[in-house]
Amino acid sequence: MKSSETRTVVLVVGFTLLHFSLRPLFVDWPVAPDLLTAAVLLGGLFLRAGSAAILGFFLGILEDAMALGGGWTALLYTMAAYLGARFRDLIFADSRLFVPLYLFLGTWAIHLAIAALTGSLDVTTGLVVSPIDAALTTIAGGLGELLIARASR
Amino acid sequence: MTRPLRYVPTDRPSRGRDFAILVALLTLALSFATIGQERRIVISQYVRATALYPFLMLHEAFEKHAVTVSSTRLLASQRDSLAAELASARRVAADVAQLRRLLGLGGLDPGGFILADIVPGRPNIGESHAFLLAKGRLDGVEPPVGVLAGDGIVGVIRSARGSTSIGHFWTHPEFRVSVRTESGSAVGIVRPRQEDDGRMVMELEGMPYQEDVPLGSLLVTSGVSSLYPAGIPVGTVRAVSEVHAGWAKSYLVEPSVRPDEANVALVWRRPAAPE
Repeated sequence: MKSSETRTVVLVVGFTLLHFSLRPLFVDWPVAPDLLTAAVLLGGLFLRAGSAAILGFFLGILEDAMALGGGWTALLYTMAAYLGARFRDLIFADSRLFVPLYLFLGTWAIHLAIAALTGSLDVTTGLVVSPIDAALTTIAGGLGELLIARASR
Repeated sequence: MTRPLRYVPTDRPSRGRDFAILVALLTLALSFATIGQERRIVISQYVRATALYPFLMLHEAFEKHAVTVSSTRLLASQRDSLAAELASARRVAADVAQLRRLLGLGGLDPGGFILADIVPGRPNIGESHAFLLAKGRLDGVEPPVGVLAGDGIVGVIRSARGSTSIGHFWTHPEFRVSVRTESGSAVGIVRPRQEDDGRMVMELEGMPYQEDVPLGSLLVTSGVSSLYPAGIPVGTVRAVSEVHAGWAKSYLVEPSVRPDEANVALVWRRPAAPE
């Protein structure tokens, strides 16, 4: 396995474990990084589209079971991981800005879709809370990548 | 500088298979979302009991830790308040002793307290009005005698053996305690009362019709019965519960201590009778 793939696997597993471990803390905050969405989106970067969709589906089922919600997260994560994998095929991805931009836009889009499906979409959620969540997720993704890169040297 | 994460190119022939996987998973996910609340909860519970179990245990541990931290803070603040009250009580006790000496009265023994654990789930599970105390006659418990917690009355010890005692919480139907308001403006008897929703509260009964007890007044033990020392909080007057036209009124009282809040109790050790 190439070193960037290993780093991405560690990030995906690490973010998933951190997300479920720190959930009680994050749900009390008005804005918080969405580490599970980051894991799904990062999974789409190195897996084939089919495998990314499977990862998205299982992480979505876990999130739905944890939150006892409407069950739409599995659907959205499956789509997001698959589209992420397809998306990277369509554009030139060997740029430092690609991953942060991909994480930011991906998280924002998923949050908008969740808000729309659960009927909680309004101006504040769509234009304030979701972008801040997405920015925090991007920062968390960047920090995670930096830490793992340093550790793997 | 670290190299950025790189994408992995996908082989063209696998795209059809990937799309088939996507369609299958979307069908499954859509079925899960539309399966109905009850079935979805059953599946969710299964996932929570397996894959998510370690995380849920971790959350529980976090929660217990948070409760412990907040309890410790509360205890520290209670300890500080008690230290302040104790300092002022010592001054009052010294003044009282001096006055008694000047009046030629003997020393006053206010009695003391025996600290004891309430044994949970005993004597019988389901007998909600009774409790077992881990101190008995050998420790100086002499029934019938009152049991207190930090904030007020818990109940009364009915029988004691060597190292254990059996008592009744204030929720017991036969429980009665003589009380007065803090100012001493009203005196009466408090008994337990079950509200419509099954919740146990207290009732101050048989107050004279023309005498109003202000809502929010703290009721304390009067010390008349010799079961309880005087001045122990019993509860706070919440509302008028009953009016017997022209001659008496009763009041609902919010208890200072609920039985389920009491883990450690203080059993009153009566002062010795003067010789």
